[in-house]
Amino acid sequence: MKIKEWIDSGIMETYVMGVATEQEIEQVLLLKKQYPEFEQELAKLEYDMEVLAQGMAILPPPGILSKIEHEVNEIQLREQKVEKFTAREHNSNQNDTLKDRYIEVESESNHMRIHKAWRWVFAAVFVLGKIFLGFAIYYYLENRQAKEQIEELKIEIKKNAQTR
Amino acid sequence: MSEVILNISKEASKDIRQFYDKYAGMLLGFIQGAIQDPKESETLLIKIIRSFILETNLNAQSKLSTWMLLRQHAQRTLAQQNLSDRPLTDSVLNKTPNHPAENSDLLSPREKEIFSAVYYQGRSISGLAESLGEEENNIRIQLKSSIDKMRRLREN
Repeated sequence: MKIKEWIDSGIMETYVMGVATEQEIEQVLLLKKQYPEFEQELAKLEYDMEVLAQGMAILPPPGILSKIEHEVNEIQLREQKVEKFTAREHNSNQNDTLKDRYIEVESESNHMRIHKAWRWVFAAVFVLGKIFLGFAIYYYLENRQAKEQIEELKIEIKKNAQTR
Repeated sequence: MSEVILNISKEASKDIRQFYDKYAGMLLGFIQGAIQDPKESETLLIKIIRSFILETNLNAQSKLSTWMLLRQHAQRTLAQQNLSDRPLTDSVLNKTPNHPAENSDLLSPREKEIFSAVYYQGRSISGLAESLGEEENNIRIQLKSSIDKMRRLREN
């Protein structure tokens, strides 16, 4: 097919209208590459279609641009937040080895990170606390018993003194 | 809207404004031609421009012109919402605001039908040939003829 026949075939129009098949697109791109005349005609058609659309344009009402800017802004802000969160997640995964050495202690809404070595200290304090509590109870009871014995002895002495 | 409270950079905001100034009117004309509802067209205009800006680099070089890409993007959006499937008749095309074929017998009814189906609805040549019971080549030629007539009218 001669180049003029390709131009007249309507293949350029289907391409520019966005309804060309894969095969037609490949053909158009090949012809565009091989024939400057075809490339020129295609550019002219694209330009003319844009001019036709300009002729059919309707002036948008005021406020549309600010709505678009606002929505684009909101979406980008949301995406940035997601990216930051993802990056933070990524970093935290990378620091997993380091993180393993800590246990997380929750206090209301805040978190505190403590070195894992402290758990032995906490365990020792807990066990010692129990031992001291045991001793405290033991000595308390001992003391009470001793006081009772002293009281009994005092009463006995008093009784003995009276009988004499 | 002030750029100060916008998260988008000043440069990006400038690009959006330039893009909007050049294409918003053309796009609104296209959408209104396709769906014939001014209020819905405005809502779709915002949606289509917003998604095009977010999905496309406005300064990127492409095989097609920005308008062609934008129109195809709009066609896809309308198709996703089943808005481009509404039948377009001769009278609808004639009522399309500022249409080159408006109030004229420039295009034959079949040419108007083919042009509208392809331009506004993005219908394929094979699909149209099947529904109209014509050869694909005939459809392609009639589409070309309708575009050529409108181009000539504009030149004159």
